[in-house]
Amino acid sequence: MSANNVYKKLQAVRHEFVMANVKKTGKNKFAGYEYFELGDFIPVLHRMFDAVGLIGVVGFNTTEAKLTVYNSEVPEESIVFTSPMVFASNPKGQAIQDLGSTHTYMRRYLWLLAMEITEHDSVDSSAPSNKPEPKAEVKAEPKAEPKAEVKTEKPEDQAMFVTKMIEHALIAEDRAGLTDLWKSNQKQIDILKSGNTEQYKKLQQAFAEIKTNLGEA
Amino acid sequence: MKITNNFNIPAPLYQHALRDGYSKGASDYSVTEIIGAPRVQALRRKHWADMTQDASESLWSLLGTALHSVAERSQVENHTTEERLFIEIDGITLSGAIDLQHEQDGQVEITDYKFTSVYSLKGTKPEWEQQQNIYAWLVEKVKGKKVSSIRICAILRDWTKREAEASESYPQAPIQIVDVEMWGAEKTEQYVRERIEMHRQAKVSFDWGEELQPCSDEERWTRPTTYAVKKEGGKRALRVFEIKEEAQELSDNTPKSFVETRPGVSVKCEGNYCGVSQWCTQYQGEKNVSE
Repeated sequence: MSANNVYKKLQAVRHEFVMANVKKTGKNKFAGYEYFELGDFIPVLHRMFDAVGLIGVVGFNTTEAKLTVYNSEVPEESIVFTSPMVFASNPKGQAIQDLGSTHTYMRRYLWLLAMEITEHDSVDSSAPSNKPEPKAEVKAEPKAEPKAEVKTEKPEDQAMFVTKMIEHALIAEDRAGLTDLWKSNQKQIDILKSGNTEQYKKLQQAFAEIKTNLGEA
Repeated sequence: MKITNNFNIPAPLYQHALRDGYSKGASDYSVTEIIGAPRVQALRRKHWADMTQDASESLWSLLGTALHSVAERSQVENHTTEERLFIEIDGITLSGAIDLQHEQDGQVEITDYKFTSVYSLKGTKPEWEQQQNIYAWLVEKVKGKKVSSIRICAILRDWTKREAEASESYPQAPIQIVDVEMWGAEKTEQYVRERIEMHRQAKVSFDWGEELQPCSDEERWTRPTTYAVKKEGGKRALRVFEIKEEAQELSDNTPKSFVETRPGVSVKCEGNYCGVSQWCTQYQGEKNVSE
C-alpha cells in the first residue's frame, strides 16, 4: 500500500469537507429541516478529490449500487461502498422518471455513506401528498457505525413497497432473479415481517406463486 | 429463550444469564454470526421462544464477559481494547469486535481472549482461524493499517499443575499464546463474501419456508466412521483406520483378529451444542435412519 494511500486520502477529504461547512440547499417544508442536495456537495467533493488524487466511480445493477473510490495515483488501491438497490416509484410518473429518481437517490446515499455525512433521518424534500420517490427512508449513521439503514415503517409505505416488490418479481426471468430481489430488499422485508404481518404474508404468497409460475417451486 | 435455574445458582449470576448482553452494534451481521452455520442461526431465530437453557450453562460466557470487562478497564499505551469495526460489503454492514490491538511500528498485532480447554490446544480450531483472519482483514480495510500477526490468548479452564509437572508436552501455565496462521487479504475477503452469501441465501430460504442448506461436517464437529482392527478377546484396537478396506487387509493378515466398525458421530448435534437439534430435520433425519 502506498504511503499516501486511499484510506488516508479519503479521511483527509472527509475532514476537509466538514471544515468547508458546505451549505445545505434542500429544504423539507413539512418536517422543517434542511438536507444536502447532490448539487451541494458533488462539485465541492470533485475539487477535493482532484486535489488529493482520488476519483469516485458510481455504478448500478439490478440488486446493488456501488461507489468505488480509487487512488488515482495508485489505481489498484480502492475502497468500495455498496448499498442494496431500492427502486423509486411514483404512481403518477413514467418508468423512466422512476429510474432517474432511483439513480439520484442512490448516488446521493452512496456519497453520504462514503463521506460519513450525518443528516436528518428523513431525506425526502417533497410534500407528503406528492412524493415522487418511495417513502423508504435511508439514514446516514453516526461516524462510528457507518450503516445505511433503510426504514419502511408507515403502513401506506409498506403497502407501496409490497406492490413494487411484486411488480419487480413479476418481471424476474428466473428463480435466481427472484432470490436476488428478495435478498437486496431483505432489510425492508424484515421490518415488514416484524411490523405488518398482513403485508408480509401478501408478499410471501405472491412470491410463492411467482416461483411456482417460474417452474421452480 | 427460557432460562432455568435448576442448580440454584446465586441470584446475581442468574440475573446475568437472563440478560443477553451480546450486541453486534448497528450491523446486519457480526463476524461471529457469519462464521457460524446459517442453518443453526435460522433455526434459532425460528424457535427462539421455545428454546430452554439452564443458567449454569452460561458460566463460561459469564467468565468471558468478566475477562473482557477487566481487560477493557486497563488502559495501556498503544493498546486498543474492545474496538468494534464496521464495513459495508455486498450490500450489508458487517461488524467485528476485536479484543485487543497492539500497535507497534505502524503495524497491528491482534489478540483474542478465549476461555478454553487444554485439549483444544492440540490444533488451532477452525473457527479461531476464521474469526481472527476476518479481524485482521477488517483492521487493514477499515483502519488502513497492516496487521503483523494474529493470535489467541488461551486461558485454560481445566489446566492442572500436577499434569504440567508430569509432562513437558502439557502446557506449563494456565495461559498460553497461540499464533494463528494468516490467510492474506484476498483469501479472507473471498471467504467473507462466501459466508455472507450463504447467510443471505439461508435467510431467503427461511422466509420462503424452504429447506435450509445442511450444516457441513466441519460445522457439526463430525468425527468420521472408523474401523478398528482388534484381536479376539482383546480390549484395545491394534490399529484404527478411516478406510474400511485397509482395516480388512490388516485383519486378513492378522490371525484371530476382526474389524470393528465405530460409527461416525456429529458431536455438536449429538450434544445439542447448537441448541436446536430437536428441530433440525438434517439431524433428526439421520437419527431416524440410524435407528
